[in-house]
Amino acid sequence: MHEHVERLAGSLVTADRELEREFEARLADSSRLAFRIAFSVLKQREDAEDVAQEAFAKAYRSFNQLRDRTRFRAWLVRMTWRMALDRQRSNRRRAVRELPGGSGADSRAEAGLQTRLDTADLLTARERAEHLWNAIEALPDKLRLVVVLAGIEGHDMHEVSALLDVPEGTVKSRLFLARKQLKERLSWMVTRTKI
Amino acid sequence: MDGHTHEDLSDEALAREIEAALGVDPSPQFLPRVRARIATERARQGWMWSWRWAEAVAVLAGVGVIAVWTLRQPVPAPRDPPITNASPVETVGRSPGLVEPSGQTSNPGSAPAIRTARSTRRAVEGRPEVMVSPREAAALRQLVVAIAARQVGAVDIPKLEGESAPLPPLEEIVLEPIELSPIAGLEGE
Repeated sequence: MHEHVERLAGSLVTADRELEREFEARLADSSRLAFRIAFSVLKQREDAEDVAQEAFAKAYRSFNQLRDRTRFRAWLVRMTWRMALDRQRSNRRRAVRELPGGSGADSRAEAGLQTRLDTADLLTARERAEHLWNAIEALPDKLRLVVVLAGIEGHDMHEVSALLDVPEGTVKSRLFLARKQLKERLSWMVTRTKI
Repeated sequence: MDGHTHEDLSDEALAREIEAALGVDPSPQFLPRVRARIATERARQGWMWSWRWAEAVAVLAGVGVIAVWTLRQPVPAPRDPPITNASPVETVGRSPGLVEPSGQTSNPGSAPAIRTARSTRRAVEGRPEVMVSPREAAALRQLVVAIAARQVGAVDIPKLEGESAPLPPLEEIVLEPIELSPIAGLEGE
């Protein structure tokens, strides 16, 4: 009897450790994805990191209830997206969202481009990045998520459809619509800026 | 971004711009922070589980105590019917605590018990309960106790006559003699 109990306790501990190890592997694999999804909504590094962190904590709490662990990334994507949208709404309600000016989209653009652009180019890039972000933000949520996922980590249509759990044809049509709207909006913005 | 304007954006150029815009990496502290958060979560879950066990044990103990207490309680007696006004006949005919229908004098100490038994019997019979003024009942009980303790005897009662107010003198009743005169018409018969 005592041996049985010991064996049961030992197997529980082993299962627990395996679960921990598996989650750690998922965390290392998906941390950047979660952050970028949150960033695409919030455009603030700190906020995005907070939301991604919360998403991982939430995922950890329910990880043992997840039947198909291979669906972890899709699950995490949807959770992070929803949480980021919630954070964005609450930020808007508080009306304390910082406008670009050294942080957010501009700091991101600067981080990637500053090394190879001079000051004039940097200003132009900042303006263009701002227009792009505004255009992405103006998209409906479904289209926006497709654009973001297609623009992250080189996801192709198949991967995006797996992450969103929708058919590939749907992803294709949503991406087409999203790009069309983005082009229209960006053209309109440039025209308006020129006038 | 590569010298193109937005007007002549191709799908590829747009995709490149979006990729560049989204190509942001988290800070180096991000992953350690997430790991620390997960560790906190793990500790909290362990703590919560221990508390859940404690709660479950407490609830089970409470249920057990309630079950034992319920099983040990005696069967409750039927409750008295609502008190109604006593009929005058009942009030006059019986004085509580004095004489039972069987003719036995009740023990004053057991008056409440007798009353309860009577109330229960009345409740069973469906008759209205007799209501007696508490002061009157107390006075009667005191009298019974005094008689039982021989502080007041039956012989003392005539003495009380002297203490009462004097009666008015008796007047003689004078009755005048009744004279009956014979009826004239009947003389000839």
